[in-house]
Amino acid sequence: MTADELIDGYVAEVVGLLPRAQRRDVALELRQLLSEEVAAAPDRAEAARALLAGFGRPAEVAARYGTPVTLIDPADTRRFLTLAAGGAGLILFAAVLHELIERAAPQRDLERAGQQALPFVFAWLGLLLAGFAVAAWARRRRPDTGWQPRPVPTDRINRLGRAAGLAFYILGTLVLLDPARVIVPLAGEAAEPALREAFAYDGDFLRVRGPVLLALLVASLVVEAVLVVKGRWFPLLHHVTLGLGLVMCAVLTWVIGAGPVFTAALTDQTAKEIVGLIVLGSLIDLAVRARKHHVRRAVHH
Amino acid sequence: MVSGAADKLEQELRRGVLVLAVLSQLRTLRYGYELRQSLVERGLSIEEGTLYPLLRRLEAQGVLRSEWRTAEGPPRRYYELSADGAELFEGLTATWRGLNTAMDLLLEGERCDDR
Repeated sequence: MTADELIDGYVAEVVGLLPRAQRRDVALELRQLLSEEVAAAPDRAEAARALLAGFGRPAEVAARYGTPVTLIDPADTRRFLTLAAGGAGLILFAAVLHELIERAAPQRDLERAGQQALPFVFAWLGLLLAGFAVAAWARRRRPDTGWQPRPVPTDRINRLGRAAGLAFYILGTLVLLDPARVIVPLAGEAAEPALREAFAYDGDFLRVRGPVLLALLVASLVVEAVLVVKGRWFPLLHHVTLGLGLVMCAVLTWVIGAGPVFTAALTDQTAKEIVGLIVLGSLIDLAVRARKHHVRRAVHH
Repeated sequence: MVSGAADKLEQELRRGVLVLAVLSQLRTLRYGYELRQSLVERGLSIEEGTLYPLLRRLEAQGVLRSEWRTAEGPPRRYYELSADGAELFEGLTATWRGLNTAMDLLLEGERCDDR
């Protein structure tokens, strides 16, 4: 290729990435400037090749001609990546949970469930990108007035709120031991046989999964009680809570996937869907709490 | 690793003075290639891929004005400071001198500490 052909090709690539109104003018100027740079060289083609190699990627040069559009502010990139990866992982896990709930072991196909979740993953990534792009655009139009003070995260807890929560969890655990016993007085004696049938636990569940789950629930209540008594988080308690939370999520997933929990199909399906949502919510809560804990540690040590 | 960081930091340092250097040479009409030669002759080498788009950006910001000229050979786009650009140049020059003085003091202090 001759020097002029090389320069023309390069200029075409640069101006092709510029706004239409700028193209003709920039092409004329850039072509003239590049030609002049190599005019005195003994081998113009070789000189043009070297010059253009050092000039940079056409897209980068085109970006320098204007203010490049930034979809995601560099300052937001880390948060974007965290939310993108976390959200995508959660959607895929939700798809696995859905498959575990909907289909019994022989018909299950977790790979297909993952593939079916991909459109939702891409939708999430698209929404996230759009959200961050709109936020970046709004911030450029109206720059932040500055940092707004917020309370520093501390190890202290709302003792009263936690105690009320603990009472609620204890009550909930007791209800789970025999749901029909709690509902029958509310629904009337006539409904007892139907309710007993609807809320009868599966025999296999009661043999292994039930006791394991109950043991974990009791352990969680004990840890929560320790927290209420102490009135503040401390590292060991935090690690135990996080570990217990993760184990609880794993066990609940196993409970969902290992067979029926209730003998009545409708109750079983509904209960598993609720448990599935609890697992997803717990995973988000664990991630947020772990992050807060690390921030607290970083600030106070 | 360190040499890569050093190159990057030096580039950033040079980028910081680039606009002022360009403005200083555009108190008279010059076209891109001529401007680059002028900067190189005075010891400030600058990549063409950085300089030429910069001229357009400064013009879009109203700092420079430009015109095509054909009288002295092939058509060339000439640039010079606009009225606003001249005012900006004065302001940036004052800032640069202040920075220069401060940096001299800082660097001189560093040398004294070493002794």
